[in-house]
Order: sequence, then C-alpha cells, then structure tokens
Amino acid sequence: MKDKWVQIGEKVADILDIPLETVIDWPGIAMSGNKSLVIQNHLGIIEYDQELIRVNTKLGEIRITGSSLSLLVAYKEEIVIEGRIGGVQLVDWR
Amino acid sequence: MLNRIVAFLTGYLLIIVRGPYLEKFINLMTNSGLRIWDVKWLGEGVLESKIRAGSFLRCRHLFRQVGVVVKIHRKTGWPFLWQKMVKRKTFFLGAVGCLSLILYLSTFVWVIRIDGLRGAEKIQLQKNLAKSGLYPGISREKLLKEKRLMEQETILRTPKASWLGISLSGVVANVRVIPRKTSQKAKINRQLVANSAGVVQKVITIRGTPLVKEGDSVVAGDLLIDGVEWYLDPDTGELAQKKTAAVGRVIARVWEEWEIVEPRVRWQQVWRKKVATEYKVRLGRRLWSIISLGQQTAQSKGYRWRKTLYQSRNPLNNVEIIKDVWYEHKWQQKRRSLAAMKKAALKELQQKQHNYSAPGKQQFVSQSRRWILQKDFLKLQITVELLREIAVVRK
Repeated sequence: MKDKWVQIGEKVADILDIPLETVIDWPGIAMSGNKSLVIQNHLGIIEYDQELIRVNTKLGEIRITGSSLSLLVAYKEEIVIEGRIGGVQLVDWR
Repeated sequence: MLNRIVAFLTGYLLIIVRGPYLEKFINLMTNSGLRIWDVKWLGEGVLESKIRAGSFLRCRHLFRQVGVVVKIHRKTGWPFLWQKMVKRKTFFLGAVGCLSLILYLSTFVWVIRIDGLRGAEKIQLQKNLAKSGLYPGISREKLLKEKRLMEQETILRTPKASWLGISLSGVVANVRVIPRKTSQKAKINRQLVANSAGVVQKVITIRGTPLVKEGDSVVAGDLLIDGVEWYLDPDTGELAQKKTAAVGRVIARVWEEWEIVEPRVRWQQVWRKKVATEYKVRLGRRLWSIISLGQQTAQSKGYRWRKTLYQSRNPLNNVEIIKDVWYEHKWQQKRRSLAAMKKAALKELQQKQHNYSAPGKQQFVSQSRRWILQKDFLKLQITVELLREIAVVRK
C-alpha cells in the first residue's frame, strides 16, 4: 500500500516539476563542507558516539563517521550533526 | 539563532545524562516532541545536552523508562537570571540606574571630531564652534534643531573654511571642513609709486621700506614704498635685504584745477498742446491697445505712465495698464541772466564735488574760486585742495 502511495507521489512530483521530498517523506541529507550535516525525516538514532553516528531512515541506515561528532540539534523532524565528518555511508538502502 | 533566543527567554538547562542506552534516550525525547540541542558525547555512557526548562519536568518519566540518571549541571536564561536579580535588589537597582544613566548621557554630544583643518586653525575652529553653540555637553536634540544655524555662524567666523558640515553619529559630532584655497602669492618686489604730485601727510607701511616721510613733496612717478626688507642675517651677523611685495598707504595733500563753463544762450525744449493719448494693457509679453485718442505726429514727443495690476516674480509676466501721452514740442533759444548762469555753475560744482568725494579715499580741505565773464560764456575756475591716497603699484 505504501509503495503505491510512493509511486503516486513520484508521478505527481514529476508532473508538477517539484522536489520529490516535498511530496514523499523521504530522508533529506544536506552537507555543509565537512563540518555539518543535516538529516531530515529520520526515524531515530541507532548509535551515537564521538566517532560514529548511525541514523535510521525510511529507506535504510545512514552511517556518519568522523571525529568530535556531536548533535547540534535533535528534533523530531531533523537532526544536525557537527564535527569533522570523514564519511557518509548509506547502508542497506532500498 | 531564533531558537536560542527563545530558549534564553524561556530558560534552559544543561543536563548530564548517564546510562547504558543513550541513543534510546535521544530518540524518546525527540519522538515526544521535546527539543534537545548541543548534545555532546562526554565519554562511555555519558553525554551532556541542553533542554528547555519547561520540558524537564514533563520528561522525568522518560528518564525512568530508559533507565538513565539525569543531573542538572547549570540553569541558564532569563527566568533564572530574574530570580537572581530579585534576590539581589541593590545590584538590580544599580544595573537599572547604570542603564538609565547611560541612556541619559547618550542624549548629549560628548566628542567633536574635526576633519579638514589642522594645528592652530583647528583650535580656532573649535573656539568658533563653541561660540556658535557646538561644544561637548550640548544636547543632541538642540544640535539637530540648530545645526544649520551653527554651520552658517561658524563659516562666518572662520575665514579659512569655504564650506562646513556637521553630522551626528551617536554622541560624536563630526565636523567636516573644506579649507578655502588661498590666492597665489603676491608678486614679489612690488613697489608703490605716486600717481600725482603733492605733499605727503601720512605714511603707513605694512610691508616694504618707506622712502618718503611726512612733509616730503613728491611728483607723479616718485617711488614711495620700496619692495625690499632689511634683516639681520644670523649666519653672517650683517644686515641683508630680501625682496618683498610692498604694501602700505601714503596720504598726501594734492591740488587740482577744475573749470566749469556756462553758456549765456541755451537751447530749451518747449512743450505745447497734447495731441494724442493711448491706453494699453500688457499681459505678460503681449500688449493690447484699448483706446487711442488723437493723432501723433513726427514732431510730437510722448511720455509713458504705467500702473501694475499684478506683480510677478518675473517682471516680464506682470499685468499692467499703460497710458501713452504725446505732446507737440519744439526747441527754442533762451538767453539767461548772469545770476541764472552763476546759479547753474554752482549747482554743477556741487554735483561734481558730490561725485568726486569717496569716503575713505579722499576729502576736500579747501578751494578757491575765480569767476571769468566773457562775451557768451561764464567760466568758473576752482583750485581744490584734497587729502588723497596717492600710492599705486608700479606696473
């Protein structure tokens, strides 16, 4: 059922020429240099320490590695990660 | 930034969380709609975070649910600050008083910055500004109200400034001055010579060396003030001279011969009867004739009378009624008596004296008159004694 709604959302976004994340609540990832990373529409934090943060999303897991990582903001709709980001990996994405 | 300002106004806590499942704690907090920020990993099983003061009590059951120990490390924000202030009333009153004093003092001008002049001219300008009303301690409101007047007064008092503007920036009044450009240096070795013969009465030397003194008689072209100055040379210890532009005044007693001639027979214009009258109206640059009575001839001569009905700033746009009247006239010879000729000659002399005397330049000392009567003329010869400045620059 969910996949069907996703397909409809994709078609609507394509016809109206609007960004996909505004129609479907897919995770949005925005990086500013290697200093900060914003993740929208997340489903919670799986693991958190100074060198690794794992964030769960609808499509899979996001692994952020680096050093001195901290959660600048942790809201329901978005999280902002700050620090020296070394890598961003998408694990088991559909 | 806005979130931080709101957080400060509502108050927030810096908490330290200890426990085995910190990720679960973060997820529960965010899923409950509670906002946490500046989450830092301090060590294994320990993190610090900031949370709004109002949210803290609401999430105590979450702490128990996750099994973490939460300790408040610091309370920050306006509600906590206010509580401190209430406890320290004197400090609070002092802070309010200090703030009020700063606000009150900021309504005055304390610093005057001058840009454009230096040294003694700058100090003089400061004095002139103070005389015009701009001094440290004047209220900003008064300055803004009288700024224009102050600028004009200061320019009048400061010949060195060709333009002056005052602008206000906080408690600082910036005075921008455009210095007047000085004229080119006076021509050096300028000499003053006499423009007429006379007896010197007074010599005023401002620059240069005077060559005449009181009582000396001079003729036109004589050197009066030479363009050299003598000084003691500090190197040689001897008198030395340098060229300069002579400046000064030489007042002398001079004599002039005047002659006034009055003929016995004069041509006189005689007006006869009126021949024509015409009324006109002028509107701006247009002229309309209203009524025309009579016929003007080649010999007739007229005069114009006008009455302005509307006075415009531009005289060409005035509205006026014009009346032109023409008369017949002719020229005829008139033989005058001796008394009439004398009267006319004296009147002309009086007019000449009036035109000739210029205040500060020359004044009449005495005069001697001689009347000479010839067949058809009466001559009046006058010798005038004047006190006049005779020094002019040699070309």
